[in-house]
Amino acid sequence: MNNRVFTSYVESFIVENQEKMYRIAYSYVKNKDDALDIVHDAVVKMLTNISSLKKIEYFSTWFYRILINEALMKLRKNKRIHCDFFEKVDETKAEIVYNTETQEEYLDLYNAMDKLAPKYKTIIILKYYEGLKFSEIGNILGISENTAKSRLYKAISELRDTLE
Amino acid sequence: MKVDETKYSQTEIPSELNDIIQKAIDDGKYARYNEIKKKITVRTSGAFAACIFLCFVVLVNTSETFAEGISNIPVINKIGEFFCINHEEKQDEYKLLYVTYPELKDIDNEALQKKVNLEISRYVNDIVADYETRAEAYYNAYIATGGEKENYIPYDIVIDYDIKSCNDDYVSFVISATEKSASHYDVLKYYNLDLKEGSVLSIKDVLGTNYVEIIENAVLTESESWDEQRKSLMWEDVDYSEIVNDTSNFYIDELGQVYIVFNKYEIAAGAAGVIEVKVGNVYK
Repeated sequence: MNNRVFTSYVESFIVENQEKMYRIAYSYVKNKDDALDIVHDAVVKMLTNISSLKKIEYFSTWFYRILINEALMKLRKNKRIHCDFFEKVDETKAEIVYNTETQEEYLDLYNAMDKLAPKYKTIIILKYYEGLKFSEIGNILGISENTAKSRLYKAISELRDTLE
Repeated sequence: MKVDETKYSQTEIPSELNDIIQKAIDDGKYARYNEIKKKITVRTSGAFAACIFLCFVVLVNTSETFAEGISNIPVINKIGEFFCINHEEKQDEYKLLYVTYPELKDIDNEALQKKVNLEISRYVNDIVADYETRAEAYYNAYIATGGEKENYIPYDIVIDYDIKSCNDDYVSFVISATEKSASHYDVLKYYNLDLKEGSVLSIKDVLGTNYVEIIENAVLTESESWDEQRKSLMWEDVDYSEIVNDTSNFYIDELGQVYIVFNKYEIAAGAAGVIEVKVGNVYK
């Protein structure tokens, strides 16, 4: 139990990684004010709950978990999306971007994922935008590695459905 | 599947983000302090003091799977090696204390360790005793002027510490006492220990015999770069040979930079707060 040491550590980390925090928050709500609220509330939560960080090795998991929780809570509060985990992608809104030079197909994830249910959105953010391993994602979300993998594949297939 | 990450990495970062972050950090700190305060209830049935002493050891293990961007692990390790943290909370009708201060352990020089620890605990006890006398006086005055026991909000004191640097050559830390309701009682005491020599460092040890001159020059040079408002708060005609002496507060950071610390009102008006000025290096 070394809250005092962890506190100054966590504070420095927050200041140095504020842009990362904002980007993650923004990916959920696509709205500046909401994203700033999420970041603010997540920081307050982290500092008031330092005692829940048992060992410094768990820092990364703890950090993401708090931030994601705040983002999900914001989504629920705003009721911008229905809390329905089986929501389908709106086919008319999914975008496909073509890279004319290489003729390869890129899925414009950033916009398309707006329509995903929160748990699929989360897995996409952690895997593609934060570049985390499945094991780490599992730790953050409290699910097994395999569940994390299958959830990701389900998220992708939800989006791919629109490609037909 | 290929993913175009440009939109994500190019998310526009609002200019107010840093301010929001700083505010959140302050909010978080006070929320934590207030949560502890909330647990305190003012007892009305006789004097009651709950006194909890905890001595817990700071131990951290490094881990290779640690997330990137975290670079301070060696410092945290060292702190755990050399320091043990004491924590005490006391509350009753008229006082509220929240005390955290460090104790040295396992530094090679046992005599130094004993001496410094004794001094720290004496220093903390003196502050606490002084505070308790005043807190009781405030309370008695309140009751004497017809105040209701149930409505009394105790003056509170927070004794806290900050470790400025911690390595095999030296450790530098500060103990601060802050009374929320009376900021002119704020005090700071810095400790700088040379672990190789096994001695307590004074500013004279670090800067040499002409330390007063060095400090004066450093302050004048640095204050040149301040904005007009801050500059105007400086006292005129400060006699540094009177203010600065062997026992003046200073600290050394992890990079070996030495900072002199002036308490409020020492060289400038109170609004300038505590003033720190870099005066030199311990590494040549």
